[in-house]
Amino acid sequence: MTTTTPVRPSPEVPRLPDGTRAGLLRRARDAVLTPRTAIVGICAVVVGYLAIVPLYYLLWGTFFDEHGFTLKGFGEAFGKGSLAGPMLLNSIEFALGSAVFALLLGAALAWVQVRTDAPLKGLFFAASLVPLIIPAMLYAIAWIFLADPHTGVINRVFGTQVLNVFSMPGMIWVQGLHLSPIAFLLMVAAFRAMDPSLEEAALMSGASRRATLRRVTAPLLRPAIIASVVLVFVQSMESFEVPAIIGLQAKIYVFTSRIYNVLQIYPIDYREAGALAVVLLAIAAFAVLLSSWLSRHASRYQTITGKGFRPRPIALGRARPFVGAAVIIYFFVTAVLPVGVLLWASLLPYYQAPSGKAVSSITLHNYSTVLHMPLALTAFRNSVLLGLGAATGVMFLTAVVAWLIVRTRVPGRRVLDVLASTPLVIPGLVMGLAVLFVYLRSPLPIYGTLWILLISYATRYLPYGMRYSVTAMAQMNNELEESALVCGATWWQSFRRILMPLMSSGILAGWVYILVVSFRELSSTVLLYSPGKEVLSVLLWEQFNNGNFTVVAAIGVLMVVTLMLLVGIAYRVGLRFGAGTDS
Amino acid sequence: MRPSVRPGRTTALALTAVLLAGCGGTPTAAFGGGAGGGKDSAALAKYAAMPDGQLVSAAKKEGSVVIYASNSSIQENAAAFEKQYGIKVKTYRADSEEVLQRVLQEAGAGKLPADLVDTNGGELLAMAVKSVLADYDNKKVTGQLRPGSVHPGWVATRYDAFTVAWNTGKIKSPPTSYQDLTDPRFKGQIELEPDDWDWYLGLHTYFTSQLHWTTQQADSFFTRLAANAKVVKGHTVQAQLLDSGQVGIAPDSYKHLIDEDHFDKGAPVVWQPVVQPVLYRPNGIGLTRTAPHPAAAALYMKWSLTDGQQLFPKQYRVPANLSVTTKNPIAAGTKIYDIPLDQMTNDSAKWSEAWQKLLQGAPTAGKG
Repeated sequence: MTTTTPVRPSPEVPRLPDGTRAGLLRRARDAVLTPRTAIVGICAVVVGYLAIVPLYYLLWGTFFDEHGFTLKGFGEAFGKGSLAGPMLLNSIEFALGSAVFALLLGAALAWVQVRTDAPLKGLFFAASLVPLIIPAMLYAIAWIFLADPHTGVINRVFGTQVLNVFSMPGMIWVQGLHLSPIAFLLMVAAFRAMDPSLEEAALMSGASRRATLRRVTAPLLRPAIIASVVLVFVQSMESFEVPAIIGLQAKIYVFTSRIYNVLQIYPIDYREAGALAVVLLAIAAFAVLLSSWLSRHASRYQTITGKGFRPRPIALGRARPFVGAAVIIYFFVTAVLPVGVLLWASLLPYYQAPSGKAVSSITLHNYSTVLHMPLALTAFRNSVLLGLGAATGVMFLTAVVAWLIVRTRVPGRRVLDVLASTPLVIPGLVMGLAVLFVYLRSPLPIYGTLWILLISYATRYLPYGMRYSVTAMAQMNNELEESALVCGATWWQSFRRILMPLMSSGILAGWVYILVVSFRELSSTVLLYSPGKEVLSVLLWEQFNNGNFTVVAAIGVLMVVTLMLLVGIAYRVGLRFGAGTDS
Repeated sequence: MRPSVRPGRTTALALTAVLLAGCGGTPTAAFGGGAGGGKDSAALAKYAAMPDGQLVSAAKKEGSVVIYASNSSIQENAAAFEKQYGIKVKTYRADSEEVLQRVLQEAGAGKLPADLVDTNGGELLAMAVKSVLADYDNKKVTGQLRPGSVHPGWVATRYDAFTVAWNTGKIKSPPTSYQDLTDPRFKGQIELEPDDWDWYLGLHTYFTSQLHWTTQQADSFFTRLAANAKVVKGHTVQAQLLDSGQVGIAPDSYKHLIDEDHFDKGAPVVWQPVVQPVLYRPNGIGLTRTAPHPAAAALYMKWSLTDGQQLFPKQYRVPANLSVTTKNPIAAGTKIYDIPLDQMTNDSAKWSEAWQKLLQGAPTAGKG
């Protein structure tokens, strides 16, 4: 399915023949010292640097000990009795299930959101972001209270076992729901950037709806589909909360349980933890390479061309009320129920299932506790600063690097892509230790400031930024850029005034994602923050550790409210800069 | 389009940057400006022995003190100390494993800003072995403590008491001994924590060293216990499930958390009548050898073993100072067993591995 002419080389500015030695040198210098080279080069170096620090630390710890090179860690990790094999299979089942579930959910919802006149679209964005905001630990606990086979609220309401959270399907359900916003955000951006007239043309030419879906719609969305699956799959391979909170009770052991155990014991066996992480690394690298191989005919998916289009919503007709009902149900299941459990817990002195007695003990005490914490304001301010900083920084860097990866034929660009994806599978604690190690010894005054947290967040969320940016870039044909260049614009002007606005849907989606997840990052934060530089997740962890689950729930509710406000503002601002809207 | 950025160069540049940042930088002298004061054990010893009046004025001159803590009530303690002396307390709070990693990393780079470390005994021991901590010598203060509280490099301030706790709504006839827990009537009612291998170590060695069970007998007890149990990660999650009656019994509960939920929040959970023995694991505090504020550090150390102990009763914790009685105390004459610290430090991998393996034999929750 080709919608445009294949990629052509950009027009070169004609040069007068100049065979002199000085002329050659000047030409070489001009070629190297253009603003384009400088900006792209600097961004590529920064991205490479951010990714290499933890990777280097991990690999060094894995393959070297005091005696030099070693493969001992692999023996410990995969040797007899380690159960690494069955655990890896469990992990793959869990990750693949979650990825497929999250993709189906995210894609269906994104289609309804962008391409139909479904009612209640406002609820959609709320529903798509709430699971993202709630820390996975709390989301998993909320689902235990909802879907415990005996005492879960849902199972009690229906009087029978509707959902047993303590099973592989239960784990996939919770993880898939929690990560579906990744797929949703990517797919919304892709649908917005897709010209519906192509589908209309197929239908007009006599293709059935199914054939159109299979042969037109799906291929056009391929970059976004692949990116969603890769992100959710790799993140589920690496994630720890659902397997720990639900999996252990269900006696389902995954690969990361083992890494976690190794990291918990002093002295840390870096070789074994590293050997386990290296396997995840290989899987992630394979996934990223596969995705770029599958997207190798990039021009086939480019739908943003010089020809303008305006996505027109499909009238759902008689189906409209049903779709509306589905929207409400989805909103209820992913947002209202889990947030409801948190809200309910936040109003109680200790957690109880809903009952008359529980209702009579309702109090706002937990909220007053939060507001009276001496560090609440500092932590709030730091979290907002870091969230905004990490989101903006990562999206700028990755947008530029995405250009390098998608638009140029620079050999080794895939290496950069894979490199930028590695932080996805490096355990948070290892990442924290690596950053700690480097900046304790760096002459730059970064240690003990908020900057070290910013660097750590930028590293952790680099892979997400990359997938959002690469996907957005892949949908754009370079004829727009070329027209700008032909009209005399510099590369930077065309990047800033043509590419960035056209990519804004995807960039905004990535920005929102990073902003939201930055608020709950804990595993590296807790190693890197300094007294007076606390963030919200540290307060949350502290209360959780003290056993004040109901106070944790109150902080969780306040985080949901704050982030919804921030994201709402971001979308309003985004509108002014050209990000599409569907309402 | 002809690429003008060469990937080889990009990679090389990035690598160079790492190496520069990692190795080329000379560690600067101080962190956060707290470089004043004496920086060796002699200075600390001098302050430890100093009379109160002089020590307080020297500490006030330093103005602040930095504490790394996994102690979950550190904020309360810090506020009380600030109120009493007007000396600012800056705290870094994290799990005990992270406190240990941070201290060792910073000490390794010669940039440890902490004056004191307040965490679990096992982690303190590991820091002491790495010579990060200085001995505290003030018999007048340490003489008031439970015997065995003074260690090289650190002093116990309080003890975590592991007790068998249950939900009174769910469990009508509670267990009276550990052996009871293996009774079929409790099948699926018990929760165990996957990181509590030190509790496992303690109870196992109690059986073999105090009751003279064979290893096989002890192993068989734990196998039967695990068969009755489901695995619940984290003491906080455990407490929520116990409070709400989703599980009946938690044999590895912290006494102070159960008391807090029972007395302060009205949750139907108790640990009395007590199942014996109660296992003790020390938490303590240590002075760093390089304390940037040695006087304030010595003052805080002394305070946390004397006046600071008065905070524990309210938190239902077991204080190390014998002259302080906690709320709802463990009755005199109750059998107490101290989890052997040396094994906790030297054999952590062995015990943790065995605990994981044991729990993997536990049945699936929801089917039990």
